[in-house]
Order: sequence, then structure tokens, then C-alpha cells
Amino acid sequence: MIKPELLAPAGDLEKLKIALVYGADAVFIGGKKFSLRARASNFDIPEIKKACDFAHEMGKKVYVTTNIIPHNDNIEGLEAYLKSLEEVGVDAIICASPIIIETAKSATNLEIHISTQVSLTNYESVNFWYDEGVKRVVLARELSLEEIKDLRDHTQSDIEVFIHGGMCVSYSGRCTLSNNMTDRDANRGGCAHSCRWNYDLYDGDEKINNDMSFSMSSKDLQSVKYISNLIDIGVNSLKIEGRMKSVHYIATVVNTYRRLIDDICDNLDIDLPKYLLEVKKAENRLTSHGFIEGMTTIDEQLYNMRSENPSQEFIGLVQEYDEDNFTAIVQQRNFFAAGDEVEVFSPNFETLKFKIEEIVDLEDNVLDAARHPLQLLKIFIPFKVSKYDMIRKIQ
Amino acid sequence: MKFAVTPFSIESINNLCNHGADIFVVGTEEFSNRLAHSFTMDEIETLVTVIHQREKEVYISANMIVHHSDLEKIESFLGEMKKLEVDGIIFGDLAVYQIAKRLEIQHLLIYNPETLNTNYFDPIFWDKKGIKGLTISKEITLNDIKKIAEKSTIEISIIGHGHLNMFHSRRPLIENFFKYNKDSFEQYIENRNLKLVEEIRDEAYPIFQDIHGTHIFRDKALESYQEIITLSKIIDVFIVDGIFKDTNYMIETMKNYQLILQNNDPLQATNISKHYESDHDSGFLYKKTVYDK
Repeated sequence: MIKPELLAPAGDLEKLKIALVYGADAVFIGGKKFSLRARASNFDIPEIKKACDFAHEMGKKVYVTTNIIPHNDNIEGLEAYLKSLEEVGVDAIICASPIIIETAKSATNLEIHISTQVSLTNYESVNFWYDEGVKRVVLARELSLEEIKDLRDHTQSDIEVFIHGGMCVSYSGRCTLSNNMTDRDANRGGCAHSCRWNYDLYDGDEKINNDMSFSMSSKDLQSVKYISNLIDIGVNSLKIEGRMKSVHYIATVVNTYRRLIDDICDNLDIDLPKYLLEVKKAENRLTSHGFIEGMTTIDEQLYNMRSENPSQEFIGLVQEYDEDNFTAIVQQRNFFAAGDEVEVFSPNFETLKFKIEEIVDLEDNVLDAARHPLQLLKIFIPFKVSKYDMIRKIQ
Repeated sequence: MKFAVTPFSIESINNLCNHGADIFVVGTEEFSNRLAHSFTMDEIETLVTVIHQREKEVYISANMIVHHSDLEKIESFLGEMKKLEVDGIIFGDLAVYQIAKRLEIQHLLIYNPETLNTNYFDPIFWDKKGIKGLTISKEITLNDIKKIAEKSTIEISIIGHGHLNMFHSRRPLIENFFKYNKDSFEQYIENRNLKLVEEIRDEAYPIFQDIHGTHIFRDKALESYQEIITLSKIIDVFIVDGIFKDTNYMIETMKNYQLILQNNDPLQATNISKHYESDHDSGFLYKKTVYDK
């Protein structure tokens, strides 16, 4: 059994640190140039260096997305940019366009991964890129377990599979709804998520969707149940989507899959409901298993704008802990008050509960509640916590 | 520059030849997405004979996204096409390239993944792979088409006229919607009269579901009447895609382009373009899409 890499998204340096501390083996980030998700807070070169230094210190990796489908206007500076990525120690780039792949091959020794934006759905197309000297491909999200297994059996390429997060309802990279409806280029980072809007459906001139809007929006992917299958198949990297997501989301999802992968690889008994409950704490859209069991059904679609808010509210991020006084300095992330029942979520131990007795600011004023975003507060916690541990409300 | 058209019948071939068609793009639904008309294998054989008799060319559309269950079938299909001595094979999935290379027919291939051929380097890359040509993506401006074509050493085509696709999902989205509402859906599968209207917009986007999934198209058809004189000097193949239309429309369209090119008259081109403006537009020829923050 090969233990697969757990790969997590990081929209900024804080999220990157959280992802790695909570158990990701590698993170993928967007640079300021040549990357999709233009609105995700992207990294400039000095920040990419900081990211690489932090990750490498922990023995982990950083991949940079250079996955736009560039037009003629977008090519200037490509070679210099790729060279600077190599210089600051980036472990691989994720690409979708021949010009980026060929420039990286000729001007750098960067490891190349092929992005899901080119929708690789079969081993023949995977082997095309393997023959081009590509180390790894990210598979299309339209594949079933059976197809992934068949693909694994017919290629020597490393394969990366999405296990969690948002899904394009279209084949990735083949959708230009956004270009047409909003003039924003989906393949250059401008996607307006038009597939999540409400529509009426007509047959000729007759409206046929009755009361409910026609919807094609996809549920998010969640594949806790299938991780052991993916490990058995020999998938090299398990990927979580969501460079736009919060630190709490990243920490919760990453840590759930971290523990799950470790437990499977250690041959422990797997208590699936426990992991399902845990990952659900980060859920901000309904989830399903996507294509893992084959063609999608109504259970993989969002209808009637159904959505759920996270049941667990993230209220504070631990900055430091004074063991002598049992006091943590916590950065406020959401409103909380004295008397609230809360739990500490940590990469170091199973979730522990406590009650907030007293909230004190750094000038030693006693507060009835924590009202100000990012304010640093002192809180009594009766057990040892560490930097990056998270406090969340129990509802 | 050659004109490529999508015929709706074997009978229409002669007439289309008489109105300037040089290449016929045909296919069968099993291996092709979004065909104007799906022909049977027997019909394709006849089409090749008829078209070659008129000394015109046949391009086979095999632009499906390939999953493992399709591999054997598409390999045998490509083998058949080799035997029929077709003049080109349009593909969108690299599996087709891999198979064609084994069959030693990669020199017939034209790469059209619809959204991925967007800059001058794409034809340079694909020339090295030994293929015949490449279709520039639909979202590229006229200026960029010029720049891409100038540097190309392989055949450059564009879909210059017709309803452009803007979305392809593997999912059966229409069927699932009606199943969710516990309504019957069978009558809506393969129904090409369906349209989507977004809640704050007026445009009606054609949508249909078939064996390859669900497809959505632009509301207006693209036309290039005012650009055809320029295009004729810079690209090799101008494709008129007749999806959602019929033979009469194809003939009418071809007549218009022939007239403009024969008379070399920009004013006439403007008038023809105006005549169709209620349901045609210039697509992305002059529209730059944005992508920054």
C-alpha cells in the first residue's frame, strides 16, 4: 500500500500554514500571474518564497497553479516568472496550456503537473502527457472509482484525484457561460459561477419548469467513504479544493482526511460516522460523492437553493498558551460570550470541550463578550493548547 | 480559404457544392458532440463517395470527450475512417490523437477542443505532433485570430458562423431536474427546442441533453459577413456550423458569403449583416473578455 499525499488549497500564507499544521503533505497556491481563481488572494514571489520556506521546514511541498489558458496578451513575462518560481523553491507547477508547459520544460527544471482544466478522462490522454515528460496529472472530476482504477492500471504517470470541495458542473475548462453572460473569461480566472444562477426552462415558447427554477448547480464533493478505495487503487495524491475557503474550513477538512488516511494506512478500524460528522462541521454547501459511484443523479445536484450553514461556528484562533496560568491568547474570529460552551479543535489531539469562564483583553479589562474581529483576548482553558488550535461553538 | 459546412442530408451535397462548399463536416452521434445532423455509418460511407465524386473534401467530426468504455469503439471507428480515405478528422480529446498515431493517420487530425486553442503557440506545438490543423477557440478576437494564423504552419480553421456552444456537462441535467420534480422527462431528451432564460436576463440559450451529457449554446448565432473578406486572407478554413438550422439556411448563408467575396464590397457586407442582426451577432470577434480582479 502506498500512502497517498494529502494536498490542500491555500489562499494566503495564514491558510497555508494552517493547512500544513493540520496535516496536509503539500499545498497548492496561486501566484499573481498565470493563475485561475484571480479573486483568491494570490501570492507574489516573496510570499511564495515564504510559503516554500515554511513548507520545506516541515518536510512538505508547495505547488503553484499556472493553469490559465493564456491568450496572446497573457504571455509576456512567462519565462522570467517560471524561472523565479524555480528560484524560490517551488516543488511543482500545475499547468493547462502547451505554451506554459513547453516554456517550463525549456527554461526550468520545474516539475510539471497537468491541471484538471484540460479534463483528462482516460489513460490515453494521460499517457500523452506522460510521454511529454509530465510527472503528474490531475484527473477530471467526471470519473468513477472503476474508471480511476482502470486508468491506474494503464499508466505510469502519477495521478491526483479530487476528494473534497466545489465542483464545476461542466467538464472543467470546457465552459464559457461566464465569458458569454458576463464577459469574464472562465479559463483566465474570471469565472462568475453562472452555473449556480436560477433559470427558466422553455420548450419552444412554453415555460416548463413550473414553480421551481431550473437549476444545474452541483453539490460539493465529499468522499470520506471512498478514501480507502482510492488508497487501494494507488492514487498518488488526494486533493482538496477551495483556495477561497476560510482557515476553519481548511483546518477541519484537512484534519479529517489526515486522520482518516493515517488510520487506514495503519490498518485501524475505521469509524466512518465519526469522520463524516467531523468533516460536516466545515460544510457550507450540501455535499455528495460526485461521479465516484458512476453517473450523477438528482442526489448530486442542488435544487431549490437548498443550503446549510456550518453547524459549528469558528470563534477564535489560538496564538499562544501560558501553561502556568492555563491562559490562552486567542484571536477573535466570530462573536462569543462568557458562559458559551465551546470545543478546541487541534491537529494534536481529539476535540476537547470547555466552558468560557472569563474574557479579558490585553489591557486586562474584563469583557462580557468578544465583539471585535481579530481582537486578541485572554481566555482560561483548562488543558494545554497550541498556536493554530481553533475554538468553536457547540450548538 | 476554403468553406466547410455541416450538411443535413446526402441530397443537399450537390447544392452546397454549387454554392461554394469545399469541405463537408459530418459525423455520427456516438463519437461526436453537438452535430448539426447525425448520420449513420452507411450514410457516412455514401457521403464520402458523393463528396469525393464532386472533388470536395470530407472531415469527420469525432470530438467526443472519451471515457474508457468508448476506447475500443472509437478505435474501430477511426480504423473505418482510415479505410474510407476521409480528408480530415476533428478531435477534442487527446485519446483520439493517441489512437490515430497508432493507426498512422495523425496527419489527418484537426484539433478542436473548443476552449483550449487560444494563443500563437498552440499551432506551433501541434505542428510538432504531426497533425493537419487546428481550430481556434470561440472566445478569440479577430485581432488575435490574425496573430495566431500568421505564425501557424498548419491549417487554421475557425467556426465563423453558427450557434456556438458554451457549456458541456457529462451530467444528465435535464433528466435529473424533472426526476427531482417527479415529472416525466423522456420527451425532453434530444429535444433541440429547449431554451434556458436566466432570471435577470432576456437571452434564451438553447440547451439539450444527449448521450454525451448536457450542452448549452449562445443565444445568437455568430455571423462574420463584415469580416469574411479579411478572414479569407488570413485563415485556411471557415466553418459554417448549421446546428439548430436546416439546409435552406445553409444555402442562404453560403450564398451571402459568396456574394460578398465575389463583389468584394464592404457596404454590401454591412447590409447583409444588418439584415440578420435580430438573431445573429459578431460573438467574440471584437469583444475582449476580462479576467483580472
